[in-house]
Amino acid sequence: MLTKILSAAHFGLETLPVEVEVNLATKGFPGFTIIGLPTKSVEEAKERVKTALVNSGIDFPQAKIIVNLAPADIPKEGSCYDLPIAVGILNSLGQIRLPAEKSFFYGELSLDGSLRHSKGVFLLALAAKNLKVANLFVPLPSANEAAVIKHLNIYPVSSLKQLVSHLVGLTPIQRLKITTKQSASALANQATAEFDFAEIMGQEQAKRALEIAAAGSHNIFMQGPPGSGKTMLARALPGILPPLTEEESLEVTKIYSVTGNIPPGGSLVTNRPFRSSHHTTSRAGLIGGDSPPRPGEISLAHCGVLFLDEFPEFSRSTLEALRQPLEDGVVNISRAAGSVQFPAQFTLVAAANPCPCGFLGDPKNECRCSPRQILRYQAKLSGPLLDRIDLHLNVPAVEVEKLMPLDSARGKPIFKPESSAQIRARVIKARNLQTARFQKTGIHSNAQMRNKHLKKFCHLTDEAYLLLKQAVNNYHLSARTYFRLIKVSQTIADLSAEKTITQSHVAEALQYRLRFQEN
Amino acid sequence: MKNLNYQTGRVGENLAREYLIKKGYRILQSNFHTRFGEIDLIAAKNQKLIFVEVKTKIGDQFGTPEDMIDKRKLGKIQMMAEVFLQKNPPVAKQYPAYQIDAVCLVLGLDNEIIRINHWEDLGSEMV
Repeated sequence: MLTKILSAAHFGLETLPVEVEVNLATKGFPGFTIIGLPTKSVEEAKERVKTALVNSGIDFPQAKIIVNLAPADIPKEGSCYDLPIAVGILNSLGQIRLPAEKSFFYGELSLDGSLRHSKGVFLLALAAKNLKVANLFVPLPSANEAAVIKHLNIYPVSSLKQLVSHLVGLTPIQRLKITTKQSASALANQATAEFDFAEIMGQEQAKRALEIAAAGSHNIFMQGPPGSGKTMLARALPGILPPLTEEESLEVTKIYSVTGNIPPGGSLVTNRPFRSSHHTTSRAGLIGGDSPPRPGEISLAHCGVLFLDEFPEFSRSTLEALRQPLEDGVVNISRAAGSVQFPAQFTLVAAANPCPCGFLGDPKNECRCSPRQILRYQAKLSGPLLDRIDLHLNVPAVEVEKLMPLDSARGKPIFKPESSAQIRARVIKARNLQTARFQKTGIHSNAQMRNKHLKKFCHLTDEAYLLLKQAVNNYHLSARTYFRLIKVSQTIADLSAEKTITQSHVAEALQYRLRFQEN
Repeated sequence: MKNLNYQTGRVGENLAREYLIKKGYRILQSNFHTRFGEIDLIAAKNQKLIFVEVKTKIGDQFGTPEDMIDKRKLGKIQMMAEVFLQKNPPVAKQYPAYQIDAVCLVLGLDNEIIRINHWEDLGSEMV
């Protein structure tokens, strides 16, 4: 008997419905074949389904079973076809009754018949909404991902046995309640970071720059001798990032769901991603790639921060590959298996030493590098790449007087740095201004503004404009730098809650641009 | 253990031969083997030459005998069939076509037959 079960396949962030046709013929030599371009992981579903059925107390039929995954010309991968195949076999055996409405069955089976956390359930729910599929049968550990989407019947399935008794009408599975916005945003306020900004002594300028970066999602490049706190500053950054907006949250959840980065039981991603990559990361690992194409670190850092420590140690080709996504906010990956687009609107935080020994420009330690070595080291970072970074700053070594909190016993004043929570409050205010400004434009922050947005939203005073013009002429800045300066100035204005960009905002923006070139 | 499996196989092959004779098959040869492999039974019926693989299992706990016949096994039988036909030109001349069958037996502890299935023409399973 032939049964057709609806399931889905993911290509990049697109979801296509896949019909799982299961034919159970009592004539012919018994066997189990899967066709429709299955990869190894789909092929192995045979053994999982067989064992799971037997261990759920169902006799595996002595019959010729053919499973076709239609459309048959698209390669299928992943373990999510286990459940539809098992349900197809059960229905062909006449042991269950399928629901009357269109239903998606999706999930990986464990050998004991229970369902395992599966990738891409969130995308499946989105597809169900678009395709008007009423019911969703998904693994219990992944069901929360689907529960964000309204108007769907989501059945969290814990085991095959439970599903069978639901489908024959014995003990129905309770539908999952929709996760509300409130419960998602309640989680969002717990921004966690390894370090609090209050723990970092000195480095006031760097902190201010990071605040600007967090507020406007500007790229930032920190340069300084070893041990000055570049890495620590970057690791403290998640603590001041604003929460994701609802729209952003959906985008990030899509990427995290399809890559299996949502923990079992998890739902919407509400914290801004903070990804940090080692410098040995391959180009495909960073940009995305493989076949079929998978999102890389830059897409996993979408709407969040990508921290690249020891920036010049990355291979040249990897770094240059960052150029296009940095500008466009998306990355197109074309392979023989097809072409996909992943969003990649990330804030780049890069850290580097100024030279191989690290002490170039340090007032106390002498640099031991030859000029040639220094040139070679700095040449690893191309001009076009650095041009795309809005904020350049030096992170000098901290003086010893600032390192320990000064004790009042010696009669010195106690200096207490601002905590992450204080800074974050300002950042959130600035970001709220941006969210209000960019309604219905498809962008979320100042750094994402295009030239048309600049003209529409950024208002400079005459003095500010004059200063900007002089800077461009004196320092021979590029057109891109000019526009980026305005964007940074806008963020600084937002942080001080001013509507127009004044001379002082431009002046501050300029110092983050020029400092690097003095070296 | 190995010896026991071997004995089970012999018992099964004898039972299969009786079964096929009862069904009207003529047995041409049993256990045709070269150093490449073995064909359990070579039979004929209605001007058709049939190479038969016999699989015997005691009990169903460790998988069915059908599970033990896969593409690789069928390929091996086909290769052996070609070898047989090359070595016996008169037989090859007499029968224009051949097919591969399987007889699967499940035996009880006292070698009594619990189930016997004759699967015909497995050539199409090889693709």
